[in-house]
Amino acid sequence: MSLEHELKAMIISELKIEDLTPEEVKDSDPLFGEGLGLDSLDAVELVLLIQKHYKIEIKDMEEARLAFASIQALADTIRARQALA
Amino acid sequence: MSFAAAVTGLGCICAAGENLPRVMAALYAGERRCAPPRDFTAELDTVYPVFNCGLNENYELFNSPTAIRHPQSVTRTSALALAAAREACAQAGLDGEQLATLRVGVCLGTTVGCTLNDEVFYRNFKQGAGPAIAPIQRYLANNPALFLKQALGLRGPAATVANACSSGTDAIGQARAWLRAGLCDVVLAGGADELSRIPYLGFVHLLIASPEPCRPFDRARRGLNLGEGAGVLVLETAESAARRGACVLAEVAGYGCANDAWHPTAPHPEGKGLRRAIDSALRDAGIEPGAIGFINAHGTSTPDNDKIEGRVLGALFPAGTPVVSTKAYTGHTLGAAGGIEAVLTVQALLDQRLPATAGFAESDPDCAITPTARNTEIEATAALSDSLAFGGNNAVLVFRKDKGQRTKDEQDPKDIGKSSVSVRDAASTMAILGIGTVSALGCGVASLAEALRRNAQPAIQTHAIQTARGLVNVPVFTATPEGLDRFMPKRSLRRLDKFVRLALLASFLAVEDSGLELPDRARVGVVFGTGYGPLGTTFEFQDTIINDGDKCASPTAFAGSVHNAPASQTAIALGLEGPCQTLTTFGHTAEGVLQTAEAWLREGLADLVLAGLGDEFHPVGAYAATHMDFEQCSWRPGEMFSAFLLGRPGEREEKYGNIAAIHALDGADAGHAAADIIARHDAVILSASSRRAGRLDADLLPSDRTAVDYSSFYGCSPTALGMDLAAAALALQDGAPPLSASAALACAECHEDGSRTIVSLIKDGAQ
Repeated sequence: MSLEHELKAMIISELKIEDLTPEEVKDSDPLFGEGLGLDSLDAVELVLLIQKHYKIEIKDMEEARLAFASIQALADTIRARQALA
Repeated sequence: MSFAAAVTGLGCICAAGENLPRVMAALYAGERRCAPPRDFTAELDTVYPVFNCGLNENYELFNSPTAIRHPQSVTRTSALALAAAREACAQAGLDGEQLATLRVGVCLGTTVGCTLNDEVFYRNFKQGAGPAIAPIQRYLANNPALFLKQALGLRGPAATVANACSSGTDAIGQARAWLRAGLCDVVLAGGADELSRIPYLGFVHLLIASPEPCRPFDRARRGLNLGEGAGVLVLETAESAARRGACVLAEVAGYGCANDAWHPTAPHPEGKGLRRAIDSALRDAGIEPGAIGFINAHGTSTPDNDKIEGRVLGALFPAGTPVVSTKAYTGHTLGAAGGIEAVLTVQALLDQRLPATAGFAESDPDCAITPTARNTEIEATAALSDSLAFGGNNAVLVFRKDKGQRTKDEQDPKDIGKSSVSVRDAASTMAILGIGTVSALGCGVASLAEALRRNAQPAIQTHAIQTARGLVNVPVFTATPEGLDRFMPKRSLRRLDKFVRLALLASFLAVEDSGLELPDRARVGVVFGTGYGPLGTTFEFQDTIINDGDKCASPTAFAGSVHNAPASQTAIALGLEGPCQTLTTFGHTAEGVLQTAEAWLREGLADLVLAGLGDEFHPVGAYAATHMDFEQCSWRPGEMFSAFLLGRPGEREEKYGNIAAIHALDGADAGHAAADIIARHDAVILSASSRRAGRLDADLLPSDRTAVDYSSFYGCSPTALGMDLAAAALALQDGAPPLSASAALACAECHEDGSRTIVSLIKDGAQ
């Protein structure tokens, strides 16, 4: 399973978005607003989920804004950080 | 008509100092005591500084007017509240005798003080280690308002307000409403909260805690610092102050509150609710924005709060109106903040001087306002203090300098010292327009009426609870919120816990039952009450810490664990933008909720009020019950939520008759007084809010009156009076046995402290 797919499945199950399946989500979909429709409370929860599942720390909302631009951006952030570690 | 409550005493304890003179000296000297948490640690990569209070270990409790029997059972929050209350009473000249003989109420805001967050206990409970229940007994003995009432020997109303970060401000507004309604002559009002690891981890994971001392309204602000403390004001009617010869320091001239009905944690982007709360407070005080000499802002230093609050203040007040954030010196003390800030606002008004907003260096054009950069001499006759809270609550107070000297009134004080009972009746009538219930008897009033009529079996689930004596089976009256998707899209339910769902369903059902279209949603208020709050999510948040560590505490669970989550989610789901309040005073909760609804309707703060009462079940509750004479008493946990759409009588079709009075009785003769009131009704429903379930002075009850106890239908909870009220309203409507042919019904409860609450219901037109 690709990291992108894994992230979609994790977001859907952990944030309880029962009306979507991972297949319906495009890699380029934004996480907030028009895309998956997440909000600011989901954003901080997602910071914690990334910490919990990938041991990657997102320090503040500035960093979060970039990393959460899309599924693709999030996957790229995780890969880049894992490469550094 | 405007109403001014006299401020005759001030008390404050916080990181800046242990009494008000020391706090003010620290503020004017620019001293900030922001340091790593002293009493707990967290396994995080960053230490987030806090404002620890210097209160010493034994809390100096023994100087209190009445002795504290078990100082080790006093929480830090209670001790802080007591310290501030004692200071305020001393300034107001209220001695122990006056406190015990005048009609003195207490209304306090808190967040930590009403939350069962003992991590060690819960960890041991989860592991089946059979922990001692002392932490639960401590929790039950330390509801802040009830604690102060007992510690100071007061005989007026007591309510704890749990409106998250606006609690203290709302508590003062509530206290003023009591004085206006004549429920008491004096109120100790404000807020108290202690630092705790639980909210510390919550705020850190919401990414709004600052790793450095906070910088209110500064361009480089990075978030808030938590703090602890208490702020208490003595408020009284002008007549009471004159009678006692008390010096009036200032007046609480106006109060406003309004909900954003927008989001559980984020403020409305245009500060919609805050604007309405400010408008409403200014209108209440009868003054123009230009007459406000300075503003003590909420100013938490989070990027969002300061931006939105600053823009609203910049838009509503003339340029150059001085703004200060005293959180720079106290930290964000959550439920205490409104109380502390009210005290500091009044003192600054007396000093005609504002401290510099420490930490502020550079204006943020995004914020629209610039706070005080240095100590500032002012010429102010009025000041405003505002609070914004999770759940979209906004609360605002307007203070005015006292207009002038009064001569001492030589009348005899109207004390109740010779009377053995204190009676507080809110006698104005409310019409019950719609009812929604969710309980072990199903969802909706039709199923409740049917079940009571047919003597139906309630839904009981048995929970096997591990205790020191082995497994104990605890039967629990279980409520299941079914059919909520009829009212809300599934997507918007995803984050909502069971307790919120119970509240939402009962609320939707009540509105549906009324058959009313809610016309102007800004004119509909929400007041909810709960004994224990969202227990499930409170412990779920601790589960995330226990299971995954301090680094993985869930911010969503934390936001859902606040007591006002059900009320604010209801305001969001129904789009209700009027005042929004949550009270949590154990068995006394229903009394406060109904009084609040009555005051909002009478004072015109709202045209309709959705009043809700409920509690959910958690195994910790059953565990505690098995340790407290469980076998001997008739207390059985019940899950329930009841909601009532209430209005002024005569304005709309009245489906269920009226709530004619809310009687509250204190004192040695409360039992006889209660029996006298009950005798004026055809029948009485004995409420099961405490372990005295259904045991209301059987010997005093008139033998020709029917008395029923419905706890065998829906169980017991601190908010069971709500279910009883629903049952009574249904009985008046369709006259099912054993309450048939009733025109007047009483719902009565006897509290653990011996006080009584009686709610009178009459058929429309009956008296």
